[in-house]
Amino acid sequence: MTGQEPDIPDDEIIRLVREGYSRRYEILIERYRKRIINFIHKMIFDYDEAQSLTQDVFVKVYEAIPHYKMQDTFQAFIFTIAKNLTLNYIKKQKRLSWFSRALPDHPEEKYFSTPGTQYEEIERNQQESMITEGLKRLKENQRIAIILKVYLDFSYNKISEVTGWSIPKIETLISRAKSNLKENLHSQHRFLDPGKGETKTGYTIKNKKVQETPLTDVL
Amino acid sequence: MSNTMDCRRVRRFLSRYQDGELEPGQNAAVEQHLSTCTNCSQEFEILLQVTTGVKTLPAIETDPHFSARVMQDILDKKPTRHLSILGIEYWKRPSLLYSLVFILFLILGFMINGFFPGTVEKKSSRDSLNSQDVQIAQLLNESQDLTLLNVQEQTLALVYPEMGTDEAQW
Repeated sequence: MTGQEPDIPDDEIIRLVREGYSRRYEILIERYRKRIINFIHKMIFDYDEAQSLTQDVFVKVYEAIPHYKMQDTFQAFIFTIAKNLTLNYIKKQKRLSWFSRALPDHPEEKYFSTPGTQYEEIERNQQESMITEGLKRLKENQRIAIILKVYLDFSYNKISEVTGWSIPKIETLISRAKSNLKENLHSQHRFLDPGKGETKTGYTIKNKKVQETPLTDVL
Repeated sequence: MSNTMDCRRVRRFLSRYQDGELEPGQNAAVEQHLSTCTNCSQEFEILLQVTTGVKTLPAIETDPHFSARVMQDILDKKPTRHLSILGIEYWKRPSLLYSLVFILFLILGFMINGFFPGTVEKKSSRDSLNSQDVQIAQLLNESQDLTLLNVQEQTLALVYPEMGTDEAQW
C-alpha cells in the first residue's frame, strides 16, 4: 500500500474501513501523512513532537470515522483534527511555560523547541532560520492561515472548511500574516546584520527615523 | 492624488491577488496597475519573496515505519463498543451512567428488603406465629379426649420449647 492509489477516493476507503476492512486505512495514512506532519511541524517547529502529534491525529481520525459525514471532504476532516490537536499542544506548552516562569523575550516562542533538534540542524541556512523565526512570532491563527495557504496551497474555501472561519476573516489573517512576516524578517535582518546602517540592537532604535534596508537584500 | 488612491486600493488587494483569489476584473485591474506603478510592483515583489521563503521551507518526512506503527497502534486497541441505551451514549456522560447505576442499586435494595428495613423480620416472625397457631389448633383437635391440663402442658411446651414439659407445669 503506497497511498498513491489514485483510483480509490477517500470516501470509498472510509466506507471499506466502516465495513471492517481496517487495513485499508493505511492507504489514507500514506496519502496524508506527509502533509499532516509538515503542517504540524510548521506550526510547532519540533520534529519529534510533530511526529508524535501526527500519529495522534491518525489514531483520532480512525476513532472518529463513525462520526464522519460522507458529504464533508476527508481532507478538511483530517486537517481540522490536526489543527485542533496542534492548538491544544500549543496551549499546553504555554501553560507549562507560564508555570515554569521562564518567560522568554518573546512570549510566543517559549513553547517552541530550542534549536538543535535533529531536523533543524540540517536547515541552518540564514534565510530559512529567519523565515522560521518570523513564523514563530506570528499569532497562531495567522500562522495556521498562512501555512495552509502558502505552504500547503489550500484555497480560501478549503481553509474555511478546515477552520470554520469566514472568507473575509481568512483574507485578513493571511494579509496580516504576510505583513507581520515581512516586518519580522526586516527586524531580524537589522538585528542579524548591523553593517547595513543599523545598530546591532535593532529593537532599541524603532523610534528613531532610520534608513531602512530593502527586504529584497535580505532574501 | 487619484494615483495614490489607486495604490492604496491595489495594496489592499495585493495579498488576494498573489493568492489568486480575486475576481477576474479585479485581477486585470491590479495587473495593469502593477505594470505601471514602480512602488506597488516593488511591494508586490517583497510579498512574493516572503511567501517564496515560506513555500520553500524544506519538507520533513515521517519515519519509515510510521504507517505500520500507526496501524499497529490502531489494531491493538480493540474496537470499543460503547454502552448506549435509549440512544444516550453514556461513555460520553459518565455522571449520567453513575447516577443510573446508583438508582438501579437503590431499586434492587428496595426489592430485596421491601420498602423499609425490618419488614423481612416482621414478616418471618408472623409466618412462624401462624404455623404455631396451626399446630396448636391441630393439637387441640387431636386431643379432644385428653384433659384440659394435658392440653395446656403440651401447648406451653410448644410455645416455650426451651422449658421441659415438666417445668411447663404449674
